[in-house]
Amino acid sequence: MLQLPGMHSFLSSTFNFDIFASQVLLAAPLEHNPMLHNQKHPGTAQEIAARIQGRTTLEGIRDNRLETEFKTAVIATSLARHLCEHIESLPIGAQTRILDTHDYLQMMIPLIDEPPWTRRRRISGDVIVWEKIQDNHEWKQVAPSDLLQITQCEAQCWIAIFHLTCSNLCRHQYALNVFRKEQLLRLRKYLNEVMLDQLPILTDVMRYMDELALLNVSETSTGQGAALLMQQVDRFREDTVRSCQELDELVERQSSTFFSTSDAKDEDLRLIAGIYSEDNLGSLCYGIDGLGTHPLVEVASIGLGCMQDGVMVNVCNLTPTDKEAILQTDSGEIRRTKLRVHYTNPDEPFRFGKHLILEAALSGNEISNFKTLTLQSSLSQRKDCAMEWVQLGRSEDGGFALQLGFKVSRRSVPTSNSNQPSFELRQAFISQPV
Amino acid sequence: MYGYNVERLSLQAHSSAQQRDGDEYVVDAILSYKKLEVLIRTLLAIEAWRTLVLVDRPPPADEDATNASILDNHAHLDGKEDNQDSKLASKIAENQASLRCAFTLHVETTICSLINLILYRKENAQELDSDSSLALVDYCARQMVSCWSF
Repeated sequence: MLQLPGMHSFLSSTFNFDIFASQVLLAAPLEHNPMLHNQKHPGTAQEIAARIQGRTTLEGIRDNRLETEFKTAVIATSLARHLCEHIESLPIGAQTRILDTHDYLQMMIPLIDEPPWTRRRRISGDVIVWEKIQDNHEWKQVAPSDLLQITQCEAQCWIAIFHLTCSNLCRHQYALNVFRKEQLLRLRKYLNEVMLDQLPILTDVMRYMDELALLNVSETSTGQGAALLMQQVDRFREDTVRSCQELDELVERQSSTFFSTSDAKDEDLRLIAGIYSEDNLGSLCYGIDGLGTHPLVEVASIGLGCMQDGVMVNVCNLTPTDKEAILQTDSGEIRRTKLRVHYTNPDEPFRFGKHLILEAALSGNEISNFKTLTLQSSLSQRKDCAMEWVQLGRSEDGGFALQLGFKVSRRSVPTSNSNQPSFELRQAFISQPV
Repeated sequence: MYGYNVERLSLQAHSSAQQRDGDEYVVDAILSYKKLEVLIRTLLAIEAWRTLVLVDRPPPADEDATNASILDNHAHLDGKEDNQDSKLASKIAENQASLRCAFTLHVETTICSLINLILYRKENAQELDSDSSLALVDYCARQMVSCWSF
């Protein structure tokens, strides 16, 4: 069937046959389904440890594959729920597939009857505990009293069933027959009060089942698929599967190219591992540049600009001196470095006005793009001529903080608005967490 | 590497989704540049690679070859049931590239959860065209069946 290029529609009977053939292959009993077997019977901690130490690389690859397959399958179940939820906005071909060809409703039943996300595990000797997969896709121990507490995975199935039984479209299109009805009514026993409390939408499902129990359905209705002879073919899969026909060749090619480098020398892997290292995660979560977090980033120079008459004027450059101090603050240790001020025009130091709009651009070898800090603030004219401080940026959340100390200028100012005080930049510090 | 970027996208998308009012710019960008189809195609490609190339399960097209290789397998591996690793798997083991293989598999999980996130909204589900929605429905069916135990 895969070798018929160009044909995108087949008689539904042909197609169904193929689908079910592949299902039988996958839906093998537990002993023949190693993926599920590994999850359901992991053994005790000692057994796992012994297994991990004793296994060959090849076995390691297989274990890993089965593990990932299982994870993907669990996520796919929740994907299926979303598809069911939005079934009305899907194209008609997909609707028929959900309701008729694959019959998602019937597929959910074994998942509730014999949930793959619940297992009993012997932790040591005679101690057996129940475990369920929790929201973060990890097995967690569940006390027997909490077993009825529904987890995300279980809820996904029920929500899918709710949408498949209670939406108008599904009620209208889903072809009930005796077999389907009986299967569906098997779920009635799970709808107890505890369940309904946790998922109130299931009240509708329960009412539907009660109605269904009284309903007479036809013996062998097979739905609209029977009337609709033509069925769309999953073109993506066809394309993909057809393109990997020459398997041996593909194996040769991949093992000599894509899988040729060993893990130890693999640059891509290093890149990927970097995603989860602290710096990058911080930048993803907070939208900052990932600068200023550990390790210490050395700043080479800082260009300070000030808004004057609507234009940003480059005022001075600040360079670090070797005067450093480690300060203790509430949010941890902070390294503070004194900065030297180099005015752009050394003969006539810049006079800052009362209202400040400042911009500082940090540069250094480890800073790939300019990190800028901005501040809008006002200085007050103090009688005692004490230093007034402003701060650009915050060091608490892992970034740079630039502290600038201003003093009222004592020199006369030959400007038009000489009533206004002017300020000079006297001291500057840069701090960052250690 | 493609997987690197997908991983980062997925991470960002999930973290935006967790902040209730945060704008989901990753999801929006994927939809506005019509990349959902690309994601689905990749998903299927990895699945096919996993089931057809990594595991020694030849396509049903040539039945003789299938039988022969099953016999072969059993002879080699003392008839052990779940020993389906293909030549590629042993080559990977030889090259010490098992982590790379693991990550390739992990990309499927990542993409799957990313699509999951995208389809959370009804508007986004409407964006699916008929080919990609079919592909997804079939994919989920295959996956769910693999969860069954009788």
